[in-house]
Amino acid sequence: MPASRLRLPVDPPRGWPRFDERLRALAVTARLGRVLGIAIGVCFVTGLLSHYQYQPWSWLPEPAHPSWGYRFTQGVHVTTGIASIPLLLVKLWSVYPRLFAWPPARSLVHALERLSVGLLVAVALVEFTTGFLNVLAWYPWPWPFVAVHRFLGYLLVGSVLLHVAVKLPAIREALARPVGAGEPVAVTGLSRRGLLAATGAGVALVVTTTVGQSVGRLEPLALLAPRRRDRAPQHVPVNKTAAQARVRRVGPDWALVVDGPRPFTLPLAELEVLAGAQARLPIACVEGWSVDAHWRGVRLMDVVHRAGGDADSTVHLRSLQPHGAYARSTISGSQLAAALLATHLNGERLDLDHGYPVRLIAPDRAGVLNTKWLARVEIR
Amino acid sequence: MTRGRLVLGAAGIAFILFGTFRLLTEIPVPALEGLATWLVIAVAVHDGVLAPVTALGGYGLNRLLPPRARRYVSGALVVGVGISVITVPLVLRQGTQPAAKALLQQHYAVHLGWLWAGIGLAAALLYAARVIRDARRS
Repeated sequence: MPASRLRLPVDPPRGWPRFDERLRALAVTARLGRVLGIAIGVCFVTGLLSHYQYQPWSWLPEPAHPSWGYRFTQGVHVTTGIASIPLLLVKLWSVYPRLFAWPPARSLVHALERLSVGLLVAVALVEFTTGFLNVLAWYPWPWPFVAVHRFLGYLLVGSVLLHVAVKLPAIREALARPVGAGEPVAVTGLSRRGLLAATGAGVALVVTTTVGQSVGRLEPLALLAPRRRDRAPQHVPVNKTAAQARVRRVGPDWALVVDGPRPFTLPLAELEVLAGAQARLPIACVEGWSVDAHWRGVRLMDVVHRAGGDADSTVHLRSLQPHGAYARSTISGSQLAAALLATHLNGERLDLDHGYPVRLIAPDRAGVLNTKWLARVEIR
Repeated sequence: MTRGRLVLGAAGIAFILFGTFRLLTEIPVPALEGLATWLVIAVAVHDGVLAPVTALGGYGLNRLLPPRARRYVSGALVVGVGISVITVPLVLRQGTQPAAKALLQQHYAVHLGWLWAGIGLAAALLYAARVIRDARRS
């Protein structure tokens, strides 16, 4: 539908915003968009892998190898998400003049396309903002974070795919030419290449100052990392403290209840005598931080065999924690074969905040699924 | 080429519809109302506040600084935008969590100051190098 049939004036009204579009060129936008699109794709896939940790299909349990699998994918997810924040802001800056394109819509299809871009911008801003605030344990919104974060992820990826489909000819044309093509020779101020370099440096700075919460060797540079293991008990951060979980330190008469074909109880003193198995395993949180740690305890499979189970058993673990989604967990397959009921962490008796008297630790497993303050093990 | 675009577009619409369906069927209405409000406010704050303020800032830099200096000041501002944006919630939440969580225990505003100082120093050195190079050429 031509603009005249919409009865819009040919020229924009007086005072309509105008911008210097020398820097805000398609050559810049396409290059920023390419990197941001890849980042969103990486975030989406690693996010789905994280959701699978929490809701695996029974016929395809999470593997135990590599033990650092979840540490890697979730570290990538959170780091890429944080790095996308400056990328998104500069990308939106580069296309801001298009918000004031005249006429606002040339046809119904064009209007729908602009609406889809509006959806993309809104979802991207909310998804990255709330994702970062979740890392800070800050939830100033009325919706359940995990489910909405996931569903907005579908909307975000869908909007990006649709946007790329619409813009593909322009994107290809822009990427085929040098970034400075058509740029005025007498450049005043920042050049397009300079803008891209500065954006890259900004993203690198964000990554360098935050990724130390996932990569231990970079922790000295982690000036803006939400978590730091060097400030944590036994050098491992805590996702939920005993006080938050309403768990009190148990006395010497405590015993682990093991239910199965041959049920038994494992008193605290016996558990500590049996705790001879050792493993070096990372603990990796959904919020992105992760730490390699040395664990000692009882092999869960030894407990399973004693209770009459075997390698094909499914084991349900229950915590002393009275409430909460992670007061229980299920483990099977290769993770079960490699799991420990840990009593010691980094050479010391487990701190109460880390799950005293005993907790689960298994390879390639999201942190909160390594149930703390165990009360009961059920073998099915 | 056209077929590829159609496949991309159809996949995009499918993802959008799937996400919308899951939201509408699994999230309670009051929560959805809150989400819709956030989506609208996010765009309004960006398009109505952040972007115009940035544009005005750019206009001011154009008026105040000569082109050669502006190049390095603009570059430094672009480098610093990411760390500044993520530091705002870090500062707001600093010290709100139990110490054992090792969460939000750093002095983020101070660290941001150091980082800005480093960015400023780097920009000043690059600018000085440029001035010397230009002087030698002329």
